[in-house]
Amino acid sequence: MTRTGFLLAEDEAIKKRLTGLTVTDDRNNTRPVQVFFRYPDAETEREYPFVTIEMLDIVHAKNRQHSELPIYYYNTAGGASAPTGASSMPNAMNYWPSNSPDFGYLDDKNDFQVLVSNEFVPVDLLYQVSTFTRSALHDRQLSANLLTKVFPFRRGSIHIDADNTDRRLELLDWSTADLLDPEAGYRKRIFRKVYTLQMSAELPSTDIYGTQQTTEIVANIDYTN
Amino acid sequence: MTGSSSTQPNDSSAPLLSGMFAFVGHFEQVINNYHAAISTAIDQVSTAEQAMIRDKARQSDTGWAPLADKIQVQYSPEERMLKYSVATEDIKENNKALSLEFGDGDTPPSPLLRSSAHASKENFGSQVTDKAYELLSGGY
Repeated sequence: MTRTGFLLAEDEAIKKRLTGLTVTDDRNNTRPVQVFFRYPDAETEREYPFVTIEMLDIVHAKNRQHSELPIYYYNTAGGASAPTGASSMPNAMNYWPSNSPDFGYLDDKNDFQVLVSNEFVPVDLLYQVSTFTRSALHDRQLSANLLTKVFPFRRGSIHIDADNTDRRLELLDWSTADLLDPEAGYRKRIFRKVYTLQMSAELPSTDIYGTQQTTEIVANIDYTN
Repeated sequence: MTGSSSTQPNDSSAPLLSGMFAFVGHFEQVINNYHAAISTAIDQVSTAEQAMIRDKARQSDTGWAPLADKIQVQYSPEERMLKYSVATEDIKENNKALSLEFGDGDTPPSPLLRSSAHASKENFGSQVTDKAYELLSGGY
């Protein structure tokens, strides 16, 4: 089941992107790569290689901020007659960020012909994805895979199932940050690469309001006594 | 009547001409000092940014305080952006900075340098422009 809600939907998407990675070596042709949110607790059984996901920050994306004009969804199931091309107009509201691609979660959706809200507030989510391996070979394989396929540099995007949107996913930076393994008495090296990612997201600025559609505009009103 | 203008000087032309010369003079000054002003503006903006991030580190309760004075913010002409680093020869301090920035098994990441770099990315250009304008219109 798709997880919905701000941050939950984005977390799920990024985990989905990383799930199913494998590396190869002499003993195993498809050694799975585990994925965790945050560095796993000591109680958690982990096998190398593994990947961790951490959310670092939420930043107002001022470069994408508009004036917060009203946006509209014409609910044809509720009896609205949508103007031609309404769903591709700049003031169209086609999804509710991180929640729904069609407002289906609103119980009384069909009581209204038009749903109205304000333009969403753009934010950037900063994520850190780290790979941990015991061997240099696995480290190289994962680096190659992440940089070319999982988070391709300068052309990254990610699909969010919760609202059926495709978002930008920029690889901002990657660094080598190897560690010495405390469990091995600080004698063994853990190869670690750290990737900093930026995902675009949106926050609703108001609730959704349901209204009825205007049926007729009377241009001339006669006043009579 | 022809020829009357030659006998009566046009008083309004003098201030207009001197105004134009002042304008040209100002632009000559702007062009001559442009590179110096941009360079000074970049230095001032990066120094202010360094002071701000050091203050932030000193007030942080995540462990950055002892490293605050080692944080450096420098302009990278190749990338045309500010670069953030911890300038230390001490391996322990270097490891501590790495652990704080990226986290490890015991410490969650507290990305002071990356967050600051991300925040400054948007404002750096306009801050340099404002500062250079200030310098060119007054100081130089």
